[in-house]
Amino acid sequence: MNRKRAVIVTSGFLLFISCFGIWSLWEPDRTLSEFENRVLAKFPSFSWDKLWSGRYTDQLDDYLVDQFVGRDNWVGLKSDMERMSGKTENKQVFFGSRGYLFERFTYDEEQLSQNIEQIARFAERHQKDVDSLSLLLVPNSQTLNGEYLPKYADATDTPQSPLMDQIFSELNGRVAPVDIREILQQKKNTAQIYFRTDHHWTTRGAYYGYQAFANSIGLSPTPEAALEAKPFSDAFYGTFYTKANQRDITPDRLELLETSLPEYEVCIEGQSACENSFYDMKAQNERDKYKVFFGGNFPLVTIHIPHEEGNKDRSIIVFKDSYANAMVPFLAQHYSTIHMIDMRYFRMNVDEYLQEHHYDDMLLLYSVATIAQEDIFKWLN
Amino acid sequence: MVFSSVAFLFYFLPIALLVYYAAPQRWKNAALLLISLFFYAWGEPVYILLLLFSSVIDYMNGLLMDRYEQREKIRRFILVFSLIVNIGVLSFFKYADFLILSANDLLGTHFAVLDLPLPIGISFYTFQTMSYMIDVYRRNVPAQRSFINFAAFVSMFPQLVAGPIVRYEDIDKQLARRHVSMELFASGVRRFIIGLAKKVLLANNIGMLWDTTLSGSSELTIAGAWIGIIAFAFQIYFDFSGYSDMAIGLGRMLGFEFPENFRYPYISENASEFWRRWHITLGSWFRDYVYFPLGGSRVRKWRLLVNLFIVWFLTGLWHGANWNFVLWGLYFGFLIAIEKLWLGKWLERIWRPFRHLYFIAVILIGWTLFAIEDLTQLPHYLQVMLGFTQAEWISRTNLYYLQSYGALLIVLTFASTPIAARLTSKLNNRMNPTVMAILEVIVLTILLLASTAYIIDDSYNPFLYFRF
Repeated sequence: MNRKRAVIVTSGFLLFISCFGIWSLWEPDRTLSEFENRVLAKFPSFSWDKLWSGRYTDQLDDYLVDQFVGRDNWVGLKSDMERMSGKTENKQVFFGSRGYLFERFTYDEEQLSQNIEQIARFAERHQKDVDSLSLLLVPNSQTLNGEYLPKYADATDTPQSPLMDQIFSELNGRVAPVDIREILQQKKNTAQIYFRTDHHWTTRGAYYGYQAFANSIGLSPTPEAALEAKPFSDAFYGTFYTKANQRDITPDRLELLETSLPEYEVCIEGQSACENSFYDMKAQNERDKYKVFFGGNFPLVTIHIPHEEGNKDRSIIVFKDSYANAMVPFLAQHYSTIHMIDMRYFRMNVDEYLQEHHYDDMLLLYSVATIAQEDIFKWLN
Repeated sequence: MVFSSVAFLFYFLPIALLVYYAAPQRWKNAALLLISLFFYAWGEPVYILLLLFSSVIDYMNGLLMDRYEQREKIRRFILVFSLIVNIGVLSFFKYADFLILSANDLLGTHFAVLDLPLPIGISFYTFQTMSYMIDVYRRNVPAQRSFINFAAFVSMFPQLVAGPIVRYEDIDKQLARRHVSMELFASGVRRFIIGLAKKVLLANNIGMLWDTTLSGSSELTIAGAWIGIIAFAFQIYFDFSGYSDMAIGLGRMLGFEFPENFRYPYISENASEFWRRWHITLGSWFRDYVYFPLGGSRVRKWRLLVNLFIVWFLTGLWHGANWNFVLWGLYFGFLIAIEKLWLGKWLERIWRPFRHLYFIAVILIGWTLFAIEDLTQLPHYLQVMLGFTQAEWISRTNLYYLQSYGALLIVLTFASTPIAARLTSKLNNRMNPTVMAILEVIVLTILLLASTAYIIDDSYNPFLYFRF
């Protein structure tokens, strides 16, 4: 019996370690993992230099891990085990109630104060060029839906509300703050403001952001009843989903809220032809369905809307991150020219660009996370 | 290469076993040497030369000692020469920067540091070659005539990077002849899988709790400080003993029987007992090659204290080139001294749970010395832990981590005791052997699959011994 048992244990182990290795080599390499939303390591190129420094074997290690057969299933299995052990997060993503996922938020104080200073310098220079210069900050989902966080998890998560107060107060007098917390709080019981599986706000959330902005600069916003809701997808798995690696998560619904507009033009800098829609229906087939808005992020997008009434001959420039993509379509009711600039990719001189063009309004639209974390605002100056 | 990696488990190991078992009997050690050199070169392509240098020097020293069998003075000279080379190499690569920085601090000099990366496993293999020279000098074993056998002993991949420290006399006969049976191989597989699970499922996971404690130590609470250091205590034990288990398991797969390195250290009642259960091969190395030659305990009281000081200073220093490790070593030297002198007798008379309580307090305070390398941070941590500051008792953050790691902490506590092992052997005696065989296969399969999942998604897989 003991011998039989030894044979089973030995052969089982040897089969396991040799088959999975061979099988992994046999399977064709994947370039990216949709499940984890990242590029997978390729077979490293060889050089003696790399070998001596130990980098070659490091890269080979990465390659073998990334291309291991059934990688997605192993990653999912690990995530399941983490949850079974009582953990309420995986890879910095909390599993909240009602299917809400949240990303743990941390930031670097130095980066934040540097960014505030850069924005202040920029605003001081351009305040006088425009009728209004506003700053709209979008807080993260747990600022609004904190009660859905796992128990005690808030203690390990930096709250964004105090940061918003800090940013607004330090930029006081230079930019007009658009504080959307109140309106979102009012609407949260009747509408879904944030996606459950993604860090963005929903189209509805963006609409309330637009309302707050329009009211703050004296425009009368399109009433909610005038919006035409069109379902876009019921199978949106956002960025939190890909980080959490948990398979049994209900996807989000993404809908578009359209208003009636004359035929307009959306031109993306560097692309030969302009589009006639804010919406990129090809996103239907992509994992990141939020890309339906403008097809993603670009350094510069210019929009022209030939309104008939002359009083709408206004222009606005929006410095923004991806949160603006869902909101800018609502602005089309009020402007004939809209320029969107994404400072993560825009590398022209901003001052020169502003000299060449004239705008009536200027809006900085950023998530709190972008201002607290990203090192991009130096490009404004 | 580390054992808990895809490269090792699914590529190196099957190929290594294939090469080793395909090699004819007389080439087995040569095959083992080649495999081991490849294993070492994977992570340290350049330092392989150092490993070979150490092997060549001591191989020749051994032969010379053999040749001058009758000349005691020459033999002694060869031993001293070998020790100087070994300790010299170790000091240069491991302690040079530490000496330079300490000199700069103490004397106000401004020597530049060398900034050499530490060759992995150097503390382990130099201790192995030194044990060889001393054993040959003492005539406990004959000198090894075959360079291949000797180099295979020094570089043997299962224990090369993290021990156990296999002494030459333990393995001398096995180098010449060893018998592999299916039973031995299977017991190696069992041991390896258990070790892998200890490292990947237990140590890595609880290690994250210690990391979060250390990175957020500005808002340290009393409970947080204790939870953090308990997490570290579990991490280092399951990581280190997991590595030893894997090494012993791999050794058996190759037909070797390595010495045990851990025997449930956390069930100890005092510091002296702990060191008979913790990293046994290092403790006995220092006992046999340093402490006993100095006279051991059979000397006058002041001399005993000096001996303990030397041994524990060195033991501390062995763990890393930093003062906190020296402090940690001396802390144990101090505890063992007072336990020898009077505390031990007193402890024997108190109720047993109190003895365990004494030990747990002592070991956790010890681990703070070990874990916090920044000596400016250490006093704060200890003060919070012992309630000397205004720190809060407990915070919501602590509750969050207790909720996240509570189940794991219970498993770790359970796994630190021999309960599971006793239960298994009881079941083995009473239950139907077929049932037990099925049960075993199920448990091993689950552990192996779970460990693989954690290796594939290895967001956290530290190698703790790069300082050793």
